Amino acid sequence: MKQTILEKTRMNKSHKVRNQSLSIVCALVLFTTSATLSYAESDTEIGAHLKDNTCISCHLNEVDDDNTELTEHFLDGIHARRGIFCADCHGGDPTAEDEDDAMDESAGFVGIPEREDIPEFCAKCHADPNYIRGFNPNLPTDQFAKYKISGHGKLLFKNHDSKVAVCTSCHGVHGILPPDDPKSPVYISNIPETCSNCHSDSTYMAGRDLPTDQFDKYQHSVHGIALLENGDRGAPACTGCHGSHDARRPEPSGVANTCAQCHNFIREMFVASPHKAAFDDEDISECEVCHGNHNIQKVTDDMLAGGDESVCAECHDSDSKGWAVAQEMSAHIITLRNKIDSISHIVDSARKIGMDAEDAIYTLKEAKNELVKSRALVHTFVADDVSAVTDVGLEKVKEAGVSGQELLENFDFRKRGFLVSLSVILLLSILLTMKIRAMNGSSNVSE
Amino acid sequence: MGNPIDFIAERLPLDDVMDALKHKQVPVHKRTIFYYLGGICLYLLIVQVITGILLLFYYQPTEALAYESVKFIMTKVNFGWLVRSIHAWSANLLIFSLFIHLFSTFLLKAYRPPRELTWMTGMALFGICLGLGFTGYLLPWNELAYFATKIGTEMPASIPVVGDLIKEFLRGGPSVTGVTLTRFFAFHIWILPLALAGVVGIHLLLVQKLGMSRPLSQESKNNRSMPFLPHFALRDLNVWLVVLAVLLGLSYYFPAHLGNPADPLSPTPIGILPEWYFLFMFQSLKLLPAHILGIEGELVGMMFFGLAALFVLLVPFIDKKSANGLKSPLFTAIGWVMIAFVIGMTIWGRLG
Repeated sequence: MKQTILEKTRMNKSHKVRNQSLSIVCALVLFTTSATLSYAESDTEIGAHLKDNTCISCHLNEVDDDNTELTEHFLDGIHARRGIFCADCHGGDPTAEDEDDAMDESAGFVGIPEREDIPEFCAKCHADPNYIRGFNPNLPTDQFAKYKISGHGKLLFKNHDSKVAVCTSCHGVHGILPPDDPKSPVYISNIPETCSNCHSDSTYMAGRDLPTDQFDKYQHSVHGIALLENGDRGAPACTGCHGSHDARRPEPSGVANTCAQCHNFIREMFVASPHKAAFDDEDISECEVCHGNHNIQKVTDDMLAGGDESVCAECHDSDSKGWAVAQEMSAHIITLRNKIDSISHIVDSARKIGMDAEDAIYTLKEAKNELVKSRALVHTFVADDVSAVTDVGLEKVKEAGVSGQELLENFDFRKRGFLVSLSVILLLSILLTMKIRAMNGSSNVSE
Repeated sequence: MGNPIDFIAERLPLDDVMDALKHKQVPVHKRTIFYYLGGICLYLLIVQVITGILLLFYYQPTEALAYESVKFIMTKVNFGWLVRSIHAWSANLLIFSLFIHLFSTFLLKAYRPPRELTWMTGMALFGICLGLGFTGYLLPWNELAYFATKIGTEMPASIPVVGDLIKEFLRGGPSVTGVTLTRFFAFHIWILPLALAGVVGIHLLLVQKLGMSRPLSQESKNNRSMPFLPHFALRDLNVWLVVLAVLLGLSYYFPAHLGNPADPLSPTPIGILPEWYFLFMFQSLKLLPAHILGIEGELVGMMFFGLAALFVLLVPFIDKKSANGLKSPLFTAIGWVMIAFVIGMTIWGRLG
């Protein structure tokens, strides 16, 4: 049966406790064979490198050394799978048997990089398009350039603040996995937790002008629920809005563009609306003012004028023109919504009593689509635009209502028909029974 | 031309028929109630023919239109829902009545001479009606019908040599497709009804010719009887009225549903079951191990049911005691075991 490298190495460890010298031989043999078994796609690279790689053989078999774990993880990572081994990053001579020779600076050994040097350390390869193309032509090589202009990069390079995230903070160190691997800390649904490792740690974040409740808020938001609970990988994680390597806090003027990456139509409506200029003048971040940021909740009609959660009231007085428009839009939407609710009740009643209400249900769905459209059109802030759509919806609701009512009437007709039929049958049956009894009087049974 | 009735009577032997009916006597005893079952079956068969013809006015037997045409019948055609619901309920009641008719006849040993052929034609009618139920079930071309037919047509495949041939003949190819639909339609409205009409004719002729059988247990007790016309016929009519009321009630309270259209590309829904009257066979085959004495389990099951059907068909010739007018407790016990088996397996199949 196929065994993983990890299983093989664990086996190898138990051998070593009993016999140190034998284990070294076994380790080399097992790693050579296990690499061949587990990484069929790149068995030649791994096999060839492991065979003579003294970094691996020494670090792996030092039982009391944490490096054992480190090398094991490394072998599961993308670098080992692509044939990139210790010396490719840390330098040194992986063929030298002697420890000093292997880690001699003259052989290019650089050892463990300082945290501040890690971005540049990784960029040696990852910012080199010619080198990267040899492995994965689709992998971007602008990560380091982006990192330098990111919030993290600026603090690192300008303020020498080594507490900020560097490549390894998010991607891990030796067992780096590709971002589309669900075990990777930068896999889309793992990103919020990865970011929260630092950003939710109030002690670690102390002294910075940043909140630490983003993750708590996010996981209860529409986006967080979609991604973390419903597994919708199209929903944005932190990087969806803030960027990844160029992660930064969006400027107020940039918030709307960030949201528009997905909510483009809403953005277009907003840009064409009178709000755009007003928001620009006040330097207010557009979407965020009404919807919030990390804690974005499902929108409700109560957010319009007159509702319990009205966001219009934040800026508009109740006697202003803007308030009047918001009230008008709200009235159109709520009228359609209430109509849909009441007709749904009729159609549902017809369905529950066994009538075929499919056509009415379909028409109601069309009305609901119009309701969704009208809610989106609120971002035009033009009452007529909203009413044009709600009017179509109301027509559909009316049609569904007539259909639902017909079904209920039809059911009543069936009921009456059934009762009349039953009465006629009963009457005939009684008459027949009387006739039979009358015949029983005149001897009908013969011996 | 004078009186048209006289005109016809002069040319057709109506008087002979009427005379025969007038002289026909129906035995009266404590099991007389079972004599109504044949009439109920005949009545439901007539309902099936009438409602079936009405459905044919709108039904379109193609893969693309079958489902839509049934939906049209159910939603747009005046009383279409009622006609289809009666057709569906009447089919179920017919097979239910046939089961009772068959088992009551078996237990009362009404198959004994000279009624062997009456029994055998009755068995043939039962088989034809099961075939009508099976073929009719697919016609709405909905999800449930599609997958039930897929399972049903798979069953003969385990028969050696000819199994695959039968399966492909039923399906019109390796799988259930639109070809199966048109094939089942042909069976449902032409082939099986024609066979049914012929066998019903012979069965009724035999019943009229040989009369009703008096059970052995009642033969010694009395020889009471009543005239078929009008006494028994009026009672029959009264029973038919009750059946009509039941049919209307079922159709009103539980109208036939259509479900989702068939989608051959979708996976078989979990818990799909055949019609209730095939459930005892389905459940039995499901319970059998993969192999019994080196033979495929399903094949053993099919052979068992085949032999059981053959045994029941030939029972008038096997049950010698009844033929000689003696009590036959072994066959009574076999009858009850069969009833317990069918009911038990059906319930198990439904609940399991």
